[in-house]
Amino acid sequence: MSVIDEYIRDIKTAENYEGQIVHHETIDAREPAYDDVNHVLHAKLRGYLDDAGVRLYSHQARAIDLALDGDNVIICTPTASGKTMAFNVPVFEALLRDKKATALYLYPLKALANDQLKTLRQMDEALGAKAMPAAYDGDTPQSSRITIRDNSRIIVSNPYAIHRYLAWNDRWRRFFSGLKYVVIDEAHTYRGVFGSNVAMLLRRLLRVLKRYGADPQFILSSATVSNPEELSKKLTGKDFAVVSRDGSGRGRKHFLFWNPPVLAGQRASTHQETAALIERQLDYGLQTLCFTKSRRMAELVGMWARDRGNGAHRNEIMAYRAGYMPEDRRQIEDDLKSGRLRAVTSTNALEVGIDIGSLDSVIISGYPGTRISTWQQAGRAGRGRDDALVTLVAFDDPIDQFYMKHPDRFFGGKNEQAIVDLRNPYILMGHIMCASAELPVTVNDYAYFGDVSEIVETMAATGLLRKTPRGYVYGGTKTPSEIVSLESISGKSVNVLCDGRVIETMDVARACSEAHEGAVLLHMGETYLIQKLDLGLGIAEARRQDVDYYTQALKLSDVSIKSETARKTVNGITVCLGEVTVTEQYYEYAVKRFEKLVGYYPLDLPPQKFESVAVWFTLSPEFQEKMLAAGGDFNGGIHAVEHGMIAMAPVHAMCDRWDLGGLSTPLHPDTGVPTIFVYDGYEGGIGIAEKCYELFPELTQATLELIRDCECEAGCPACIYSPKCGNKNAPLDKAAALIILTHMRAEK
Amino acid sequence: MEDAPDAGGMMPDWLYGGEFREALKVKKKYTSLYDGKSLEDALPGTPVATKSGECYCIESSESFCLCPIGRESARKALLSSLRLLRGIGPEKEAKLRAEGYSTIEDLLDHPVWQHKARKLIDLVDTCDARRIQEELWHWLPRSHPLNLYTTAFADASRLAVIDIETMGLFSRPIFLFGAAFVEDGKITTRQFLARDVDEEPAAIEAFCELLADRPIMSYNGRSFDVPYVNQRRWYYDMPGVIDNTHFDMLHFARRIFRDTLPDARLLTIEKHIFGEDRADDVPGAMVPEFYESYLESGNPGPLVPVVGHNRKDMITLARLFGRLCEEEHGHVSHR
Repeated sequence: MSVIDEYIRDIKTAENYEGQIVHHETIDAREPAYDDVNHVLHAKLRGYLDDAGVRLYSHQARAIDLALDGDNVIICTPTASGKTMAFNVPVFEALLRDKKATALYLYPLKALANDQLKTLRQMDEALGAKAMPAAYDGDTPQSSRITIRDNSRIIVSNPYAIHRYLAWNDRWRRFFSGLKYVVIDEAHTYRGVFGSNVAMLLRRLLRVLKRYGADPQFILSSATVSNPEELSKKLTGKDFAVVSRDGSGRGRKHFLFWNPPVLAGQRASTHQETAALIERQLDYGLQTLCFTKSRRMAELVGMWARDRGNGAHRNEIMAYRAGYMPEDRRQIEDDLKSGRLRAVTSTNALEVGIDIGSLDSVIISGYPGTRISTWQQAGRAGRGRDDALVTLVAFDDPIDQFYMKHPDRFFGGKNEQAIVDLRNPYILMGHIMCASAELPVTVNDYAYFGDVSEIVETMAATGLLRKTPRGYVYGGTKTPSEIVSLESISGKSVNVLCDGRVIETMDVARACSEAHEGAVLLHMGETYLIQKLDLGLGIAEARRQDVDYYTQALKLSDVSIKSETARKTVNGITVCLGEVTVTEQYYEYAVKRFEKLVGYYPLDLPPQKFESVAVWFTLSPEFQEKMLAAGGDFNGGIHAVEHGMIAMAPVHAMCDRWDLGGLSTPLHPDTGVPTIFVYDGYEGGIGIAEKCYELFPELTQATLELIRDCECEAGCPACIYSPKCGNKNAPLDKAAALIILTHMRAEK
Repeated sequence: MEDAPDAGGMMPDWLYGGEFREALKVKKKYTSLYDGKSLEDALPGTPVATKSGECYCIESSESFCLCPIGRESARKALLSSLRLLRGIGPEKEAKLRAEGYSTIEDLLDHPVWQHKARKLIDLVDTCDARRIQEELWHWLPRSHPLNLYTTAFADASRLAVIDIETMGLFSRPIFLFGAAFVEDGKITTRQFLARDVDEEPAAIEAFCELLADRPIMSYNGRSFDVPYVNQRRWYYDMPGVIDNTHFDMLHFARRIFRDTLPDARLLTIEKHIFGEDRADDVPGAMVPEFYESYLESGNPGPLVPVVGHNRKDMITLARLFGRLCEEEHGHVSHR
């Protein structure tokens, strides 16, 4: 019996155990599967692999073979399965065979790029490939830039940097002309607004490369999203071979779902339960990494854990977060590796990349928002062949509670789909503008961007583009790559400034909800207090301040249908997808401290009108009549269904409930019948509503289960309450919602 | 503030302060001065046809005297610097001088240095300005006074002084390409204007054809004008690059005026060295706005001071060059 078995047994038999372990999943150990590449590798590369005693896992060998066959490859396996080797081998093979060949590596974070650079340099030296791998981004000193552009054959960079450099493409002539591979790591991070922007950026890159006669192969790596083909195709516009059968080995893993007990009608604190678990695991000698959702909670949970048991483990527990000084962080990383530290509480800063070795146990305090992220964090537990423990401690939120009650959906269900939208006209417009400053835009470019003639005409009419015999040329005043942010949808945006520095850029609609005067803005885990929001100037002034409360803006929405693009019938219910005009009015915000309402404060903001994409469905007036006749609260029912569906959308699509808005009405002027809308909270839409349309039956089923299986009697924050409801969660009726959802699921 | 730019204006007031407001006044003045006038009236010139379409050429000339440095004196100046030989540093130079070797020609007798001395003398005697320049840059900073002598090896009558005006700092259209030539006691400026953005390729072509293989002189053109034009040629998929012999006077001027002038802008040099105050000048950063304003309104007014500014810059650069040459002749001494 392992220590972990003992630990679990003892917990279950302890006197104060309240049945928190609602699920115990045992994931069996697996032997690693090795394989070798079928292609004959360059002698130097072969020698290198043999000398270093590298045995390739089956998925690595497969990915290398596919790449050497000339395919674009996406490797979709868990963290720490050795993806790096899978792209470095084909890259060096190409670089060894062709002295002019080059490769571009893109990482979403600089920290990851730096780790990778070390590996690349070692390999380059060992192979004598003279690739001179170098990082080239905003931090690269001006003095070394020319040397890198003119000599390095492997350049490691990030999308933000490429976005800026494309207009200087003639300086990259040598590097671009020889480009054989583009390697994109952590491809799942390119989703939503950011992903849609990066997809356009990659099209701009390919378009410029064509001019240099280069058409590189892509190798992508991604966490285990459930739609790798779609993600890779949408990001790059090319077809991919998927490698997803993980050949790396692992020990046995115990995955516990820990639901804080409901005592006297209230769920016990997730944070306190977490602190107690840390203490207990240390008693059993299990080295533990605990992930929290904010920096503040990382500090607090760490402190509470230290104080427990009369401080027995006081010196063995530390908090870790991105704001610490680099030397302090390195100290913590080293102490974890050496075993001197027994527990660390951290934000997701330790989720990827940084080398801290492996631990006995991981505690995830609050569902991180996606299954993919949960598995990434869980991947930190497990040393070689030893047993490992993962504990997910739930919040009293809909998704957390949904998985607590439906663990099969977590372990058995497919992971979320990463969404990339190629049709948002505002994003397209921004990138066409950037493209026109890189090379004149002509009809040939429709191959990359689709038929954008309408967008081009619109921009030409305003003088942003100017028609010349050689194509449309950028004619605006500012540098386009400075106007177009990869993280927001172009159009009107707001810069959040703190001490004169832009810490975040967001759309106006989002600014109204998250950066209004008095709002507490959470940025990289730190809290900022918004002093002032000036929509005219597009500036929100923020002050860095630790506060123990948070804010939620309440809005009233109105939706009108512009056009219907698709329609289907699901169990007799008509479901539509289409373009809508949304009007949102934030009129008030709530201040809450530890989930308790402190008060409401008024907001004076103009209504925001924007075009978006929505999924909507209607209920028949007969059904409505019947329910009302039976004394049911129909309005409370549809309202609850709307909230529940929005809360469950992240189960299927990688998004946040805040990315969506909704409206439920017993009579909508455009449909003439009771209608529920769920729309993308972004100008032009970002593809979530589209996914909800596609997965409508699954979404309805999940919503039904969420509401049905919640312990509450008449609705609670863990099921049908919405934190941003403009009607302050009234009317809401759980029973009526269940009748509606059952009706929607019934075969007719 | 009545002169404040509209919301779409690109330059925040505080960035340029007084200069910015002055420039807006200039724009306003010329806009009303040329209201209702055609471009041809405002800026007399002739359309130029090229393979890439048409652009517009504005030509003017005024009397000008330039006495370039003679090749003999340039040769003498260069060969009197022992440090042009690979391996001779300040110490070695002092030692050689003490031994009686004061020129590179003297070193032809030296047992160790004779071969390198021969090579350098041969190089100088090729009179290939570009190769001499490159050799110099191996050992001396680009701001070193000896650089001036390399100009002696280029044909002064073919020298083109260049300056461009653009819609921004990079990857934006160039709308004015200026070149100036000194010949027969006159300086002639030829400026190719893109009357609309779509005339840019034609203007590039006309400009590059005019330059052909002439030696060029610029003020920061190595870092700005030439790469910029090359980038636009590439952008339009036009063949060729400007790779002419190039004398960039900026670093050189900076070194000379380091202690005597507040900055080394041509405007400042004009004022302090030639005692001229340019009227109605357009600060470089405001040039794009003037051109935009012309594009939007069709009123040629804002172009007038920009074309004037471009022309003035080229003439001042030529004058500066002339002055520096004179000083080297020893006719005038700069304080």
